[in-house]
Amino acid sequence: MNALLQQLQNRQLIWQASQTEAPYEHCQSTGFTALDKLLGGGWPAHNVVELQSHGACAELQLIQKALAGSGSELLQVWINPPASLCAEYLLQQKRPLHQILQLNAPHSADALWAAELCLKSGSCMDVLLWQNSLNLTQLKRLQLAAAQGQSQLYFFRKAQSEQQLLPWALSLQLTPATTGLQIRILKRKGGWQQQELVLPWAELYPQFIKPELQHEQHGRPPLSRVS
Amino acid sequence: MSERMEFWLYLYFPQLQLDKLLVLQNTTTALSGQNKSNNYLNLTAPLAIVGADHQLLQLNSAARQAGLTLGMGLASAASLCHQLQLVPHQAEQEQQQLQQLAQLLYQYCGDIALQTDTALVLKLSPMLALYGGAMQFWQQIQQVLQQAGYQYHFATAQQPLVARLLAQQGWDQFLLQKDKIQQQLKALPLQQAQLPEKLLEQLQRLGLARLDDLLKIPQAELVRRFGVEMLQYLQQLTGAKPALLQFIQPVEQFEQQLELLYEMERSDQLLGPLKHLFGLLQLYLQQRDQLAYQLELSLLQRQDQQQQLQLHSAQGEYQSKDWLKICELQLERLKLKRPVIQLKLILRRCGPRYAQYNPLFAGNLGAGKEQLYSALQLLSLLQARLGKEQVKSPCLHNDLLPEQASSYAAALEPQTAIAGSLAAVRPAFLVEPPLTLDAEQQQQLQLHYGPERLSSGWWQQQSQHRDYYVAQNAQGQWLWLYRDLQQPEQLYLQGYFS
Repeated sequence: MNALLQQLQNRQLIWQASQTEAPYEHCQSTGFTALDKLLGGGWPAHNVVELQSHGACAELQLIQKALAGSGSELLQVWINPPASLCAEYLLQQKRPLHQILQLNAPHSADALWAAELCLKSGSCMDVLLWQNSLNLTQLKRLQLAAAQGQSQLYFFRKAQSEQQLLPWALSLQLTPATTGLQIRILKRKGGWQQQELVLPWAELYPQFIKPELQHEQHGRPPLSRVS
Repeated sequence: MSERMEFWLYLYFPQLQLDKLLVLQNTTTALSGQNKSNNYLNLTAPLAIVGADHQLLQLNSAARQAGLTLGMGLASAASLCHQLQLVPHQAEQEQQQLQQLAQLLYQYCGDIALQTDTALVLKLSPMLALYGGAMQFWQQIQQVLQQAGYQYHFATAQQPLVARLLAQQGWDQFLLQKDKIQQQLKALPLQQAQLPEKLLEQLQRLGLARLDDLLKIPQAELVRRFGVEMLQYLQQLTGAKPALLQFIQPVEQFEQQLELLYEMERSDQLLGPLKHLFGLLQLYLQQRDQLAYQLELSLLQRQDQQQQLQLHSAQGEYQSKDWLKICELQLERLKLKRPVIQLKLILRRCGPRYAQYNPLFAGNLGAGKEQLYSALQLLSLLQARLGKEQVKSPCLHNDLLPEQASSYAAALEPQTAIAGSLAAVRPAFLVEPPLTLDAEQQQQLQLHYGPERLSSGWWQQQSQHRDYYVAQNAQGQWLWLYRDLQQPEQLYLQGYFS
């Protein structure tokens, strides 16, 4: 029996649960200790990450520290963002504005083409793409392009009720809760548990939420009565 | 002494127009991979170029096999070979081709003159010292001619006229020995000596058959009998008077036209001919060590219609393959209104080429990263497919109001820094114009931060006083709101934190 197992193992036909410790070859820290722990190190490097949300719930804030850590001479490309960008916000992130490209592609085929080109060009580090539909072949192409150009794609998508089975390296669902942002892993390469985490708002928005004040603020009356 | 050292090379192209058709077909089919069925010219079947006086001027090999000869009338040609394809002769186009060829040869020879009988005269003597021998020089010239793909005859002589007579006869010898050339010249029949019609008839009546017979007679005698015309001819033949030739100058501007073999209806068919044009551009740019930044491509269509494309490259390119890629992306978006019959490529903006440096050890994270395209190349490709206005970079203006401070500028252009500290709380996305929130929405808001007061424009007429707040709505979205102090009951949504 053991000899047989040994033989199978030598031919690499056996998958062991212990191999799931490091599902990605390289990780880039998210900058949040709890999230790093949940993801087993951080964002999978040179790959495609899906972030599902209804928008405006700190999804950019989540990746911002990773973006700030990437190469400063390389471009950051925003494809079809939901609204126009605020230059002051981008400068707060220490990113020179002329290294940011915004693309508006009305057709989704154009947007995907642009994303693939940017990813594999080798002159972009991070590509942020807002799009709602994606099929298996398109995802594979994007993943190959990201690996070829050693770049990262963050794919922002509306939260969907029915789940498509796509081989994301990492897919997260973000839902705002009262205390913080609820992060649920929908799909993770090499992982199987459905894990969850609530990241406090104070960690995500340190510039205007102070941890010690947070509790007090919840008790305040709605804005309409403040004036 | 120097007069005697002069040597000329005469290059005669007997079938320029026909050869061009062959060359074009080769490049087109090589790229599209198949012979198009709507190609109305079949170059493997008998084909002839016909002059204005209905004489056959140029014949392909199939036509020759069918028994046709040059100079034959149309009627007899049609009776010999009924499926003969006819193409009208275009002298202007041939002169253009000749001009192009001369520009190519200009790299190797300084003195080139165009001749009206589809030929080029090259002055050899000053070039021989440079190349260290006649054969090396001739090899260079042959290489260019081979690449161009035209049939040619050639001859060398001390006088342009002699070289011309021998070349048109198809002597095809590159020699610098005077006696051998003279020997060949003397054997030339008088009919082929290009004498004026009247003179030739008179000489033949006298019983002279070859040029040798004419040259034996003392010159003075001939001139006394036949007049000035004979004198001019003899002077040209012996080189007593220098030949009047106008040497070409290199063109200042790149502008090339290309007649298509047949009407092209699909834009992807155009890539074959375009490759040919970009190849010429590459050669032009390489010779001048320049980069092209902007090109204009005109697609000429029937009834004098045309569509124009502007091709841009932010980095500047000279290679044909890079321009072809940019052009391909633009053609994908283009809808042809009519079939295209002619292409025209004009170089609009170019600049000197500098050596480009790539860092050997690029940063900490960029280390080991191979660049397929540089940032500027990427920009050109994106602009070619999406349109120039769809690719932009954000920029910051020196203004307090958020909607005025953030706007867009040309992509990847460095911007002037603005002094002063940045505001701490700004959302990632701005809503333009700001939305008003109704009473119900206002009820559901939960305030988290504020107010932050912005007072702006008080030095002008339109002063604005706003209090900004950060709030969460019922769906848990983070909003950036403001209240205008002039109408305090109304809340506006100006941005989303994300």
